[in-house]
Amino acid sequence: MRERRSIFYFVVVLLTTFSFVTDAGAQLTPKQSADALESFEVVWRTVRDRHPDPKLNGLNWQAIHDSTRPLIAKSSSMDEVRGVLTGMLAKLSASHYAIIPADVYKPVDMNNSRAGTASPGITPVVIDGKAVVGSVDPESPAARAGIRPGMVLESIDGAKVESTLKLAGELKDNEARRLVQRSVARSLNGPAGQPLRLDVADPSGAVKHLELERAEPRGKLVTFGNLPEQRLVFESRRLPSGAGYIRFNEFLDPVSLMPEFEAALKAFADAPGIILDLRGNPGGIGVMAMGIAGFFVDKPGLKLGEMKMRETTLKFVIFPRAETYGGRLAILVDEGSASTTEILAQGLQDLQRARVFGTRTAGAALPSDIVRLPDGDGFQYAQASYTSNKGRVLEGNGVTPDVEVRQTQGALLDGHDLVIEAAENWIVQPNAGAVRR
Amino acid sequence: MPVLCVVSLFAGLPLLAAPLPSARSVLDRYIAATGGASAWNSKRTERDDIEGRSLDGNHVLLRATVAMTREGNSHSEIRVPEEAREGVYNGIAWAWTKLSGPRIKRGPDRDEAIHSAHMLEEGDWRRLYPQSRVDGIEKVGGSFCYKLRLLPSAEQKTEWFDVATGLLARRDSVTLSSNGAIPVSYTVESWKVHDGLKQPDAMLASRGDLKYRLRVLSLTYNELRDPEDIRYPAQVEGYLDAERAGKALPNAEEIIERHIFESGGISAWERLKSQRVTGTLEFITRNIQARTEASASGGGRFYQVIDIPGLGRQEEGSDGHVSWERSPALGARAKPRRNLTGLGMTLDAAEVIGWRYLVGEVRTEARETIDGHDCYRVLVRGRDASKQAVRWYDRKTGLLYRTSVSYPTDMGEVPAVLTYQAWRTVDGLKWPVQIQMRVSGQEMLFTADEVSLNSSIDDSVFELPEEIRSLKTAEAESNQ
Repeated sequence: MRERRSIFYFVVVLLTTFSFVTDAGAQLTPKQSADALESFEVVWRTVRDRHPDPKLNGLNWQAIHDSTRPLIAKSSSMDEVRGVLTGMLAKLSASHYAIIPADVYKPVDMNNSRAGTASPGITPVVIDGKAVVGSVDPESPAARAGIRPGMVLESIDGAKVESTLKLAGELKDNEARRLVQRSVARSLNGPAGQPLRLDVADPSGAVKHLELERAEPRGKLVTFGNLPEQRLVFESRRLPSGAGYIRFNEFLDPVSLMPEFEAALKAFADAPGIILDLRGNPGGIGVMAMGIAGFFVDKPGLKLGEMKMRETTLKFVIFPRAETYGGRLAILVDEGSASTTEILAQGLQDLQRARVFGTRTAGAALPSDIVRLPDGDGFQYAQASYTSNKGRVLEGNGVTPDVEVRQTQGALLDGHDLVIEAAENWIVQPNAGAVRR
Repeated sequence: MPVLCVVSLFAGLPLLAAPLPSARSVLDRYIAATGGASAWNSKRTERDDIEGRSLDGNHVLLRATVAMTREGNSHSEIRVPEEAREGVYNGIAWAWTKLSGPRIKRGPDRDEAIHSAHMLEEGDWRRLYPQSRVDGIEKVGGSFCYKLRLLPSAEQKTEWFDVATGLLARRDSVTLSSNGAIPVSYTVESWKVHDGLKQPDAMLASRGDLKYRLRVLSLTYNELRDPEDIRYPAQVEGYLDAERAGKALPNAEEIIERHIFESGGISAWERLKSQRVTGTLEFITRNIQARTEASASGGGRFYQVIDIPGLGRQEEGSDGHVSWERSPALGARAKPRRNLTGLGMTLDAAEVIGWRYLVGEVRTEARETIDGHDCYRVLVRGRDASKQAVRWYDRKTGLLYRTSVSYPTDMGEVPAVLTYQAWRTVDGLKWPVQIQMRVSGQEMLFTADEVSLNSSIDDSVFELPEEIRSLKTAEAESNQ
């Protein structure tokens, strides 16, 4: 029964996958003292059993339990409960432990309650605390309504966007902040045909009220295990500079995505460089980072980094493909680029195989998980630590681009993508620095 | 016949009665021809260094030092084929191996050890084999010999004595082991006199299918001053103490062998030439159910596929020469072939029944209850001592219940705990058909729906995919 060996390998794949797909989505539950105590026990046990370091940095976790539980029992408000739990987690001196107030989930829960796959065709980006239209799908309801990149989304179905983004700004934890920001994008979605009311500020600052339909968005519906259905969008095109441009929005469905990726690379075999646009890509199946890297690295035995779990350390090994692309590789990232995206970008940056453009990534590269607690709050915890090939800790730090380029509202309004343009300029420069394969 | 009485591995003793000469006259003649009764009776202890080599002389198959007393105590220190000791001390037949530690021999195993522990047993035939008889005359190596059965003897010891010289020509016996009855035979090729006693110096030996040449490198009599010199070692002493206290655990080797027996026995495992298993792998809490199919045949050929929704077909195989894997995420690649480790990674027959040659050490660590199953916990260390597995064997069924081991993957060692929840008898073998797995914290359940053993599997199943053939061709060209 030799299949066992492979089974374990695929479990590794899964471990590096779901932990990156962390959106929680249960109903807010009533706050009761018993729930708070039960939540405390869940948090305490989870840390005890899942923290990457079984010694918990030398803490006497049982003693902490015994001293903390009475404080939870006599808490009179949820704020007080959260304060006690946060204080307990702070003793771990680790970045990726957080109690996420139930209020933060309200937008997410609302989105889920009216979950739908239809979209107006807008991809928002957060610029200077504002939800700016980053791109508009051609022929989409938004395009037909005259919405253009650079406009600002003021409200969605009557809910002010600013207040949600303000909440994100107040959160200390990157992952929680990212969740809130993503909730803005999700709030645009809904059932097909359901009208969407938008208040949009144009370049002059004038706010227009628009009502538009939601339509089936681009992309293929894919799923994996418990992950809700996602739209996988893949696109590739030749840029005016001759560089090849490839973008996909999630690391999912390798059965369809990898052949498309390979075909695009073959089509760009003569291109001076490839631009891999992973902005807004939240990650997905971890092993796909290894698979993508294999198209650009022809030397065997290299790795993107290592994930250290309580039981073992797993290497993100690169397996060179039969045919690899040897030209320049630019990877585009932003604050919405997370997990698998960060692992790929940092790994290839460490190997000096890629040059990274854009803004610092989310810093959410741990195989962390978020669970909903009995009292309705969320609890985020790490299952492993991750370090890149050069020992860089991505968690909480993110990937720092080689070339920092911030998209501006003005550039969007003028029809420019500053990040793509910076990458193109590097690719076509004759002496921009060699890349290693 | 000093040497042959020694190591139970090479034990043998005969008997017989015949119409021709009496056993008494044949044996007494042999004693007279080799030095006489006084020479035989003057020897109280014996120490031999012996060596067994392959018939071409190129390979050492046995090397041991053996000490014995006339009273029936013995101590053999074996260095080849494995580091081991065994002996008899005051009626206690014991063994210690580096592989599995101490054990006390029981039943036929003990009887054989005790019968084999006598030095110069032909000299004591009146006491040991009073019912011996001559059965007839047969040719051995071109010479007519009296065929004499040593009786009583559970090991069916038979000796042939040259009619012309009176010397021993051959000895046959049967050794009982977990593998069944193994015929053992020695044919004397040359003689040497030691301290006035003529004894076999070189012998053609066979044990089952194994044939080799046994030589006495040195032999001394009456050098052992203190009988305690051949007392059992401290490890056996400790085991006996634990046994007296009711805390002794069975030897791990016996536990593993019982599993082999209960799962069908060695002969059924030896018959295993191919396997094909289909089933479902459920990733519990992940809402994933994958179909699996695995085929394996002789020569290390195998093919397996796990079709994971959302991830695609994960394939792995080998044509016996080139190992490979292919998946949508990582593509196709050839990879180094992994050797059997003996740590329970496969149900390959060679790994199951050849476990002794794959592992470095096994020890029974405890008796404990797992999921309500009364189990023995056995530690298995690989030849590379850093690799180890822990196994739990069900005392009631004798079958393996759980294994905890780290599996090598390209990404690193992955810890896994497998619990064998259900077995199905297929073609004489009990095969696990439900295995609960916990791998790096992930719970999975494998359920086989079809198990086919020893059926014909088309060779094309194991052929290399075209992508792999291209890769190997390109690799060969780049190496030129």
